[in-house]
Amino acid sequence: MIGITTILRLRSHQGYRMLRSVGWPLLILGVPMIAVLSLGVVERSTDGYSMSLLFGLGVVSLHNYRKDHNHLRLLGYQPRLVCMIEYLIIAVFLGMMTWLLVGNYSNLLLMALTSLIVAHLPNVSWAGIKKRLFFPVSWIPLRDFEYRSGMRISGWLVVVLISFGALVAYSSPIVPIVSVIMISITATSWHMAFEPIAMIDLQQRATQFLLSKIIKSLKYLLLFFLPIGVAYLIHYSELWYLFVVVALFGILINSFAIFYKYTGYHPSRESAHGEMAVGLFSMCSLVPFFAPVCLFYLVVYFRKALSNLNTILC
Amino acid sequence: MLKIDQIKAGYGEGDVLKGVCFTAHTGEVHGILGVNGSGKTTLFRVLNDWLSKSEGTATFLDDELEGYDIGFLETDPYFYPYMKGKEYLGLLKMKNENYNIESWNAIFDLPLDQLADEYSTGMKKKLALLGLLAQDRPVLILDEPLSGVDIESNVKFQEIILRLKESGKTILLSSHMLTALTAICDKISLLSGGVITKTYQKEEFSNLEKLITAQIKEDLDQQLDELF
Repeated sequence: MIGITTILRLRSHQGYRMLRSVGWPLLILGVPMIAVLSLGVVERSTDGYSMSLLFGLGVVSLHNYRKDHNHLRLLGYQPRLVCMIEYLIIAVFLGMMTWLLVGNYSNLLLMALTSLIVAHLPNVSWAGIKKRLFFPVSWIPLRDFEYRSGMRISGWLVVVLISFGALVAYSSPIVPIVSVIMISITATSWHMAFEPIAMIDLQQRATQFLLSKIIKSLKYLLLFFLPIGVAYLIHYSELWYLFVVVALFGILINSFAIFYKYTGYHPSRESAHGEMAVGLFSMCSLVPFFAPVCLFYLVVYFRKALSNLNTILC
Repeated sequence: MLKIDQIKAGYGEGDVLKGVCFTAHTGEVHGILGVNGSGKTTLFRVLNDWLSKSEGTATFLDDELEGYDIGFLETDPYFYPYMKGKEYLGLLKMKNENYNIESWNAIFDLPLDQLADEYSTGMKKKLALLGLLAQDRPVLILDEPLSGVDIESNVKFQEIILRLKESGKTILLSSHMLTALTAICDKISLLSGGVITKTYQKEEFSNLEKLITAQIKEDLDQQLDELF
């Protein structure tokens, strides 16, 4: 048991470092937002099962994403046991919270059961599978390398989301809206890796550089949103503004991801590691009350990115 | 002519570089020799403007040295994820129409259709060198260009560097391999304690090898005497 507590202590340190990397101001804003969003989810379903569903989806993606099974084995731990304990801790926390809020203890049991099942699922190495399933990207110009790289790895997901959003739009206005949100969030992950300095044209101004990145982002997002938007407008033309708002959300979070990347850009580093910050920003953006704060942050990071790029570009 | 004058720089408290001065002429390979942690990479980062200098100047052809003057080959080059070698070179070729990817790659025979971030260390270095050639910058900074590459590629690297020199490039190069340095360089500056302690001319290289070997042996003898 001493071994497990060491692992858990290590996890808490990792979590703390990840939170710190986001920066305190965004964290202070983001954590209450996650709480508000979670409460919103619970509020919308009287029995709280939506929270269990969210937990299940989260824990499955976490389990697939983690690459520490072999490392844990080398250290002499049983990966399944470690996974189970880690997922159970989250399950107990969320389950208790849901129980307190909606008075339904079955969510706690459901989450605990999900933890046990997911921990025993095989940890598939996706790298080899993904390589065989690369999305064809020859239609994307070389200079749009972020989108070539991004589409290569998650292009199929984007196509599935576009098809789903457009073809199933007749069933409910929520379907295309959710598709647009998920495409937008997927696209933010394409702005995390730093390009080697050789790939940057150094003889341009920082504003020009950032503007070209934003225009590129707009171009691709609009391309992805177009089929969904057309289907949405055919079925729910009276709710056109809702689609515009969600499209703006996509543009907003992707712009933030770009600004965040170039705020931290340094030629000797490989990644912005901004998943957490962009995630928090996205959550905040979903709550209309906090939209002004998000816009403020967008401006702050735009200025920071400009200042950082000014030291690199000539 | 690349002129480095009194450059001071560091990371936080205390300077790693405490007033580095040297001059590298056009069409010259200037070697920088120093032990691990002597500040070779720091110097290269400063010249690239990746690290601010607290003092000093770097000029190229009497103008301030700019990032776009420099082609930099890092010790451990990295590439954009999920990007093929061909795409990386294709992107750099956009700024240099004369660059022929296939002809240059015939030297190393890299699998350019594979993802660059999955290349081995040596392959990454070769791709980075091909990228450097595509950039066609007047000043080349090569940080440990020969480490991590096989014997055959080592020879090819050295030949390419000599050809680049003949074509009029100003080349700064660091390496731990003294024999490689003496084979390629026209001058070798010794970086120690944050300053250039001495610059050796080509005719002094045989002496340099003896001097360094003798110094190492002397230091080691002292340490071993204490241990045995």
